[in-house]
Amino acid sequence: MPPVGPRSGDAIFANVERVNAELFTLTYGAIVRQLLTDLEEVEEVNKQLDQMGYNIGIRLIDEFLAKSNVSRCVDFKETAEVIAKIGFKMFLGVTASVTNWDADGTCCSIVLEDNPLVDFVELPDTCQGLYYCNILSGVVRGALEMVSMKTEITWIRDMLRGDDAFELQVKLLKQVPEEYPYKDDE
Amino acid sequence: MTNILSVYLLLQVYNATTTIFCTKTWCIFSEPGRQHMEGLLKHIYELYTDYVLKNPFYEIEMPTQCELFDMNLTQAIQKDCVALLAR
Repeated sequence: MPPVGPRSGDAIFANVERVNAELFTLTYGAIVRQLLTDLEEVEEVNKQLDQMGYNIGIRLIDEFLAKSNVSRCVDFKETAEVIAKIGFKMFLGVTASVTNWDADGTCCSIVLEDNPLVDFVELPDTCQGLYYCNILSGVVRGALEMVSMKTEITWIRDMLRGDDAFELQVKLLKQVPEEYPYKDDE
Repeated sequence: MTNILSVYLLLQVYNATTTIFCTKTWCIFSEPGRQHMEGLLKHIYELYTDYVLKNPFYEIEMPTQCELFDMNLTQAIQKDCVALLAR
């Protein structure tokens, strides 16, 4: 059987098993609330959400590779486009866009107009400083790390803080070459 | 050889071809001499992403000891053997 070509985000999304979106939103909300109760400090919760996202991302990348059949990305620009158009579509059902490239082509913004994690959510005054969707930054960071890219991901805009969209800045720090668990000549 | 991120390699090993399927994170190869392995190897990769990686109790880079994965893997190989006989 010959290998198939790359699939669009819409095509993959149409074929995955469905779950009730509100169950997903409620589950995520319950996680964030519990973290706030357990950790109390908003910064700690942000860190924990990022770590959880990282643990998801390192596993999710293989699911992405298995289902999407994308070709090897020639540069970071293509990587960002693939994350925005196929990755976010496949897993969250939303199409993101890529903007604000820097001169080197190593830093860009991924913009989400829509985000199922935040349906019905309003941040109270006690939670100012909370990045409610910080799990997403961890997911992207973890996934990219498994394909040898070390990145730094920060929130530029957050709709729960009054902005008009969600904007994630993705900065490529370095491409890490493969490391082998054993040394030659030993 | 294809252009996709996951690469099928056909390697000559002792005068018999072995098929290798690898992505940036994972690799599997078939025994030499078997042909038309691409579909099965890709399917096994998909089983890995489902039953191993989505198991929250599996630790990355530890040996896979997931029963569900073993079960589905055996089924997939048996199905492939049957399909091979039918060809």
